[in-house]
Amino acid sequence: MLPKPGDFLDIPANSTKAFAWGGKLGYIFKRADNTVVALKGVCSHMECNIVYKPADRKFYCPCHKGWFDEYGKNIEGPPPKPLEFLEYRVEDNKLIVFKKGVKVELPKA
Amino acid sequence: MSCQKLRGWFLERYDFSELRAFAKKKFVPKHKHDVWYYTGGAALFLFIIQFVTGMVLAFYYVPYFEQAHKSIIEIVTKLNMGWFFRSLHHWGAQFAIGILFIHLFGTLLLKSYRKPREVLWFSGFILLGFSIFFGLSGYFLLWDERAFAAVRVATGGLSALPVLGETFKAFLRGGIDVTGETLVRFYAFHVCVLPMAFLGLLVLHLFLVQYHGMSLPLSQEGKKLKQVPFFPNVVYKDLMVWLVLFGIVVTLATLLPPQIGTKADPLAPPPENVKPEWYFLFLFQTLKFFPGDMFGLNGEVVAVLLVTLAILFFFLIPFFDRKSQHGQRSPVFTFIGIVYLLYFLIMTLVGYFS
Repeated sequence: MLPKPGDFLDIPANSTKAFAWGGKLGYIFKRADNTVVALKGVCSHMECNIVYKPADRKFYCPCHKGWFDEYGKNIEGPPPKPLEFLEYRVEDNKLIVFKKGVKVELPKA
Repeated sequence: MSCQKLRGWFLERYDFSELRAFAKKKFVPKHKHDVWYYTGGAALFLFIIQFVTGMVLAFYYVPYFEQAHKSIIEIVTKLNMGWFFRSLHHWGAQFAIGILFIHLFGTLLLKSYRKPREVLWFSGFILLGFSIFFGLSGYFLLWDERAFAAVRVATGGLSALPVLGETFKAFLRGGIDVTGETLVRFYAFHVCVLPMAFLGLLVLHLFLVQYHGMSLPLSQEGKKLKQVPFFPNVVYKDLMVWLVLFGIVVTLATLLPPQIGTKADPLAPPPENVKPEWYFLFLFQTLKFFPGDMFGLNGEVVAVLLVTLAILFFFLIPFFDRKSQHGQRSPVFTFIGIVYLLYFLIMTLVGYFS
């Protein structure tokens, strides 16, 4: 649950904004075509944190030189699987990020 | 009390004649490969340095994720001679592991693992494993970016192992991810669990060296070799090797103190071209070479399984090398040994320069 959804959803196209997904790295990612997605910023190979390279429009893992495209597909290097995407919705002016298929309800104040 | 009196006090109570007889009786054969005998002693000496400098550092290091990185910076900047002990601990570790690899490959190529010294080989091999874990847990204590990435990879790789992989991973990390919990755990491994286990196994290893005596290479068996007394000839030579090593390690520690990286941030990507310590480079490079998809199989799992099998074969080599068990030459295993050595050297170099 993140306050100020605007800080995350209104980022410029072709960029990312990091958030803490538990102890791991999460990204809100706005593709060049303005679609916004949430994903885990962790490489599917050896769990290093990945970084977005706007010039190449790809995610990159510096540990063993793995590459993923905008849709999280593992396209080069050792990663065996695509990136893990998360879901999000805005409620009560809060951005709620959750695992696919998990039902999340905000506690009633 | 004078020295004479003190001596008398002990002699009245203890019988040293057996020890003295043992010392007189112990001989070491002299031949063209006997330089390898000194590699074990050299490793022992470096571990003594590691224990002493490690104890000093443990007086000041704070094993908590918010303070760990800062406490090391304080050790090297504020404490009197703190930088020296830290630097010596670093260089001592590099040399200890380097010499253990030399000791290992020497033993392998001279086939000193053959009957009846299999247990010596196994205990030595496990001691090397402990040493590498000493290294990994030690540099994680820096809590810098590189160490953080290295421990994520090293523990994460375990999950590719079948059945127990996930359990091992969670046990080492103290949770599902690498966190401050992992730091406390690695500290406990580094200063308590590993030293205890290491010392126990080292005692066995050294006892077995005494029990079996020095191993003779197959090429020297049956020759009439000159026997050199262990006390004092070989001991003096051992001490000379130790002194030279000490000089080198202290010089390097003084002139090239190791860097401390940026403090680890679990949410930041690791620095570009991040690399582990040199003794992990051959594994690191292997992981890089395997593509994600290998004929429909998960490349990561294939890589980890192959590496595990290769290490297991290496460990059990005394059982596979039947010929040298019977005292015959076994060129096939010399070849296998050279392949292992070349793989280690080449992958380390490729990893270093890539």
